[in-house]
Amino acid sequence: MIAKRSSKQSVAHKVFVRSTKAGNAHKIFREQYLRDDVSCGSVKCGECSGKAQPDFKGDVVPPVLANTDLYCVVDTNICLKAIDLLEHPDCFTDVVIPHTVLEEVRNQSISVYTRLRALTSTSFQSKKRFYVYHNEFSESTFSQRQRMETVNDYNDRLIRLVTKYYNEHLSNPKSSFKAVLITNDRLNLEKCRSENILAASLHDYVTELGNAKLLDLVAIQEDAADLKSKQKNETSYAPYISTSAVLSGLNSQHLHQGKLSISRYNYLEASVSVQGSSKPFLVIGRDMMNRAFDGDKVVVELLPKSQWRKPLQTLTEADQDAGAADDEEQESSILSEKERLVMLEEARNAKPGEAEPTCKVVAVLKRNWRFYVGNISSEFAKHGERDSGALRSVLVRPMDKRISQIRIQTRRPNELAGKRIVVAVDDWPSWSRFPQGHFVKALGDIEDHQAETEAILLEHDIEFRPFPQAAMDCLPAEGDNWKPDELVLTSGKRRDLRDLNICSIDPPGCQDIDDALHAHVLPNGNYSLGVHIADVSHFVEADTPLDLEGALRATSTYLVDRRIDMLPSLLGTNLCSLKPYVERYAFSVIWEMTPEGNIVNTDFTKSLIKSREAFEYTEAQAKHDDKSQNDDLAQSLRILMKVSKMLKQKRLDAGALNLASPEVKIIMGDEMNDPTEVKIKQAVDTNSLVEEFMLLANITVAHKIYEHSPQTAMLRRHPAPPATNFDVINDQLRLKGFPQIATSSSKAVADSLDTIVDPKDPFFNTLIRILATRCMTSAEYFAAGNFAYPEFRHYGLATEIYTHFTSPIRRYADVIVHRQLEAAIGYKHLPPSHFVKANLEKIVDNNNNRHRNAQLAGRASVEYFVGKMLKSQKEPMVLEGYIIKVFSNGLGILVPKYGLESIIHIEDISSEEEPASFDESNYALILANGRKLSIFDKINVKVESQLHEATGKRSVKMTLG
Amino acid sequence: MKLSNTELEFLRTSLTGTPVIRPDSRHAGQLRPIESEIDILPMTYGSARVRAPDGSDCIVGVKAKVVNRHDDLIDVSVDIAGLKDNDALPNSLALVLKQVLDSCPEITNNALIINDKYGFNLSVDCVVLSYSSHPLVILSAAIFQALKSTHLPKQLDSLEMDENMDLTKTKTADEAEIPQFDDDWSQSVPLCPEGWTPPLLFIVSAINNTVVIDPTINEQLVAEASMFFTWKNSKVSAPIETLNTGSTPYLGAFAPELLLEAYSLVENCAPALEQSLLSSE
Amino acid sequence: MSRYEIYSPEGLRVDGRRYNELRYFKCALGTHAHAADGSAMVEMGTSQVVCTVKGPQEPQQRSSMDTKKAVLRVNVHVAPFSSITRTKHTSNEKQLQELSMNLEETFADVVLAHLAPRTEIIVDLHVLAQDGNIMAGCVNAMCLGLIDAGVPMLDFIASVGVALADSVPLLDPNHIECSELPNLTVGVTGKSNKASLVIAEKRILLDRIKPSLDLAIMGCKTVHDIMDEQVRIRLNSLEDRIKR
Repeated sequence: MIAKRSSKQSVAHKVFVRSTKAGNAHKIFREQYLRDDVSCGSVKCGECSGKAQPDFKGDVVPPVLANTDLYCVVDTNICLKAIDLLEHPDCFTDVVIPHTVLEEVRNQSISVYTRLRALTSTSFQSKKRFYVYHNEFSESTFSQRQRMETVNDYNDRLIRLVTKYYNEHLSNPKSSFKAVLITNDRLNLEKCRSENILAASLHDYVTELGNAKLLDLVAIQEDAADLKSKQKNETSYAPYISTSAVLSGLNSQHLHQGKLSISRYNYLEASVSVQGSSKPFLVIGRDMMNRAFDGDKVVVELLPKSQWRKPLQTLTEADQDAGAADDEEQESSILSEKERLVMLEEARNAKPGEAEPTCKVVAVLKRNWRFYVGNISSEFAKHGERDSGALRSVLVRPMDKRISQIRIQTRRPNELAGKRIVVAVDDWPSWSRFPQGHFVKALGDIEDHQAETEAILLEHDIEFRPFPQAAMDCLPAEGDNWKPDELVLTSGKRRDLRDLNICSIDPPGCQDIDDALHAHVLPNGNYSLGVHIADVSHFVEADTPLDLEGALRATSTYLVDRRIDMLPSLLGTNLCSLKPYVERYAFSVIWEMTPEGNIVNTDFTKSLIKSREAFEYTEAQAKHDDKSQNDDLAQSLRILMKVSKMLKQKRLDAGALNLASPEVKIIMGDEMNDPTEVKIKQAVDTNSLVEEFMLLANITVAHKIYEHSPQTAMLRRHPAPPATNFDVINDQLRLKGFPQIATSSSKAVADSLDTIVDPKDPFFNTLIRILATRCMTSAEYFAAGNFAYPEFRHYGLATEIYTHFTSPIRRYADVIVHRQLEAAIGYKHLPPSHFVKANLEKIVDNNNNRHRNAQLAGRASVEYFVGKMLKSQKEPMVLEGYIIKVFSNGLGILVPKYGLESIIHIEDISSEEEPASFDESNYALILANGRKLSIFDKINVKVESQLHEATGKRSVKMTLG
Repeated sequence: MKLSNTELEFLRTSLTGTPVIRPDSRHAGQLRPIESEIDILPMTYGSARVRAPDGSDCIVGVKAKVVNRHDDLIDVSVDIAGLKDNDALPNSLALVLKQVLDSCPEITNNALIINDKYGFNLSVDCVVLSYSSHPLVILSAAIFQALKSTHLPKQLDSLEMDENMDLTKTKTADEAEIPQFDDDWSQSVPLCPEGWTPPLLFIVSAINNTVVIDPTINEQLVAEASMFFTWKNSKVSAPIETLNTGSTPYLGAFAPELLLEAYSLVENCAPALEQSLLSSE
Repeated sequence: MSRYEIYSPEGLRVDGRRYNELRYFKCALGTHAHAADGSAMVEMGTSQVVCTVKGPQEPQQRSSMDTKKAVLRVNVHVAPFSSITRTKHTSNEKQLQELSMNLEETFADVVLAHLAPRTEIIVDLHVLAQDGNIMAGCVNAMCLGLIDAGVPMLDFIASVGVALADSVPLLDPNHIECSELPNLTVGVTGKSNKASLVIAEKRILLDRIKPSLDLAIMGCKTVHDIMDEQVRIRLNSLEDRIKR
């Protein structure tokens, strides 16, 4: 190892002013060391590889760029806007990313940065060869910022210097090599021309390649100026206010910031939760939302009290106004005619006194744009017709009803019609009615199984691409032949528990067995009970590519017909999975318990186990019930069952909630992927047996890791819901003459829920439980240091501290908890990245988001399959349903048999001549024939599957039966 | 190094005789030479270092931050090596220097004002590495140099920033915009207005009927009284105050006629110092 | 995620250095010859530390006198303008006191204090600009200051920091690296291969310390050579002056 000294000549200085959010400014003075050993990264060049310096491990970065005739240098804008194109296999094969660009990209979008970086970790033999050239550290391409030069101009100039450098550095009289700068910046293109540097716009570059399909991927952008002039006369959205006005507004508190969430029932209504206000602010109407998307971080200004409103009582679904897009050219306002009518009606219905604060969006701090799956609105293109080849501007209707239609340009609208396509949003200028985006890829035909599944995954932002090679490289080299190493037992840190009668109990067909159990009677009469969890942290070392991939995915996602793993299946279904009859590493929690169920001793240890049997729930139940069986496993099952019942009783006594959500199971028929049957999941006692022990293990571990790392322990809390959440349901219960849900504590809720029964209808209690569940807040992960101990409480489980420990194969939070427990019992040091609270907070946020998305995706998948199942029915089915929501123009219905939830539209049960009236205070719709449909009513509904023309989305259509 | 009574008496006699004989052979109105460097600390907004031949050495760094404009706009701190933070000397020096700078509307009402609500707070931090005679004089010279070299970030015009700004709305002082700054340091603006120079301070000591400017440590010991004078906008101006230089055996006062003489000493030598400091840039 | 790519896959750090490169290191002796018996200035990148040494001299307070050896007293002053945001430090701040104590202890091993009993040596360290941890700069400046003052010493102590980006040690970290990464300050006496001073600011895994220490020791040797060169230059200029 040699330590080198830098010479004075090699230092340049960067002096600049950095403004802070609070309005302060700091002079920053930074050193920049210029070097002569920055490699150009090309195999063509013999000079640079000779100068290359080894890194810490002694490796020299090999050249990446291949011996081709064209290298592209890209600017920041291209990276941000055309990352899909950069990733496309048919173009951009040899690309130089100047470090200046990489830094700018990193500051603007971490996700694009990550994708760019993924592209650069390739070799010269791969198909895409991207190289980051550290231009600002190279003597050949560094230049000081000039006086009066803006940062953008400076960066552009630096990028031009890079292009020039590559052209000169790699020029060879024998070859026709060229490096071309790809930029859409008009000024930069002009400067290139005057400085004699080869440059092209993205559009020109792609055109040159002569591939029409690629051309579609190019964002609109260039034509923006033309479009703007064309639409200048349109009424436009209010422009966003300046950054400084935002800062001072937030400071003086006349502006507020928060996340916009658009109602699932009505895309014209959104709410923004702001700090310091108990009620969220409403944002009503498209002009008030002012181009904000669901999930955007926005800045809002409260409207005067005279404009405060009740939340809308009307259903508005974007697809109802399909016609709005037709006459877009003539449309002179943001609101379509239909929308205006709805708003007018609403204004009329509004009663004084019940108003809630409303606000308007004045700026968007951070966009929540992602890829959107949708289809080209049918009025723009007909499937089967030939495309003329001319560029056309069409609207894409996203599957997510809350998202506005997106304008894209394509040369083959007819080819794409009838397909699920993915688009990205690029911009939403104030003069444009719709956001502008570009085509990314086609998933396949609408209703095609593969396409729809992929759409669900994309819509929920679930990473389903294969695991990157770097992550796969972290797996044990022996692969499936891996065997536990008995030698580890001699170290004394891992305990040999192979002699215990351990078994696992899981749903049918479970391959990723996270947990296993054992129980036996100790000589002193007490029970020894143990929960053994897959030792994932043994295989997934912190901060390795495998760990990072797991952290990113955060959870496995279960769709009806597909599982997206968090960890490669070698681990998930084999090496980690606690399969029977083979030896596996485990992380065990072992209690000694008195026969009365009191814990006298708790022990945590890494172990080597051998599961005796993998039961399905029903099998275990049968074995437990079968009095004739008296082997070790049957006996331990009986002990486990007995203890679990005691545990459950204790929990219920403490006020644990027994809530409900309709969970359905889809039975798949054959390989055609057509579901044959939908069932509500049935639970047997053994379900609850496993559940109780998992809860106990989680709670025990939570205490242990909190004790050891009071700041960074990864815990899970479930905040008590504000009492106001129950206002509506309690009002509805009161009207119907039922007892109220008490809200003072979880015990009160649990007790009062038991009293709300309809003797004639056993399902009614479950219905109320389902609805009460929706009034709850959701549980979340958190870092222990962020809350005070009393706030750790898990409301639903009625325990003061909780965490997730028992499913490390499919939840990343559990992996972190495993590592924290390892440290707590002195098995292994905590990895350095786990000390940092800020780091942990990021993991926590990601886990919370991904967890929710995975659940939503699972639900969407069930919905899709139920729809398919209904489609296969020839006749519409008539089923029992309950009214769970009443709108002025429709009814929300829950059909318990299939766990289906949908809406009966008022058009389907009334007409112009025979209008229905809305009795808001009684939560009822009164039909012309006098029939009163009120909340909680059990009614017969006709259920059929319906393919929506505009969105191509199959959904459930309900009408009165 | 302590002087004996005999030595002190000798010194006193030679200073009060005719002609006045100063131990370093200066005449009564002559300053000691000083050496200065500016912009020595690139992390600061302005900086300077001043050294005197008696080993006195001080460094001044200037920084600025945005504050409510009604808060104090100038802070001065003095840290003297070997003295505790709560020692009287650094604190009284800081007070005097702050008073001097506060009375310069040329900066407090000018470059430091951002808008109706916001202003820059200027921190002038002095580090005295060593000193023998009273450090006020070299401190004032170092501050002079540091302020001359100080630049502040350039404020961006709000109109320039965003063409979409709602111009119809009038803004109250409460809503005054949080300032935004040009990220280009080469665009930064000098703190001192063109042609204006920061104040300088001079010490004059009175020994019996003689006055001498810029006394050495030994001269201070035999002086009956010492005063400092502020030189600002090409004239002697307030504050003019007496100074305790530690000459306990000869406590006395400044006779009025001596004051006038002291005045003219300062008037005579200040412009030259000012010029030489400016030209050293 | 950090604002910066701390250590790029291409092997370059935020300021363009490779893992094993020091910042530009500049030092000089006798920079404040009139002000003190010994003085020195050290610049490591944009960090600047000035050291003045008084003594060995008669103690100002009799109570702090040791009849067997010279007493070494260190005061660290951190100028308010030395960091990006102005921060006023008081000398009784815990961190500064700890720093002073560390310095006193480190140099107690090399200063031949028994040669000057009943005296004290006062070291004032002024941190004028901080870019990264200040400990290394203080050690180097103090070492040169003591040499300039003619205090008898066994050998140099040279010091340098090292930060850990995952498993890669980064030599002489600047303030961005220091704020993002756990880091160590290491000091080496003379030309030995042993660290006589190791201070970790954050927790560092034991198995990662070894490569960090190896790199830091190499760095200290380089610093030692630069300082040695300056000491010789100073010596020659003094000799010249005496000859004249």
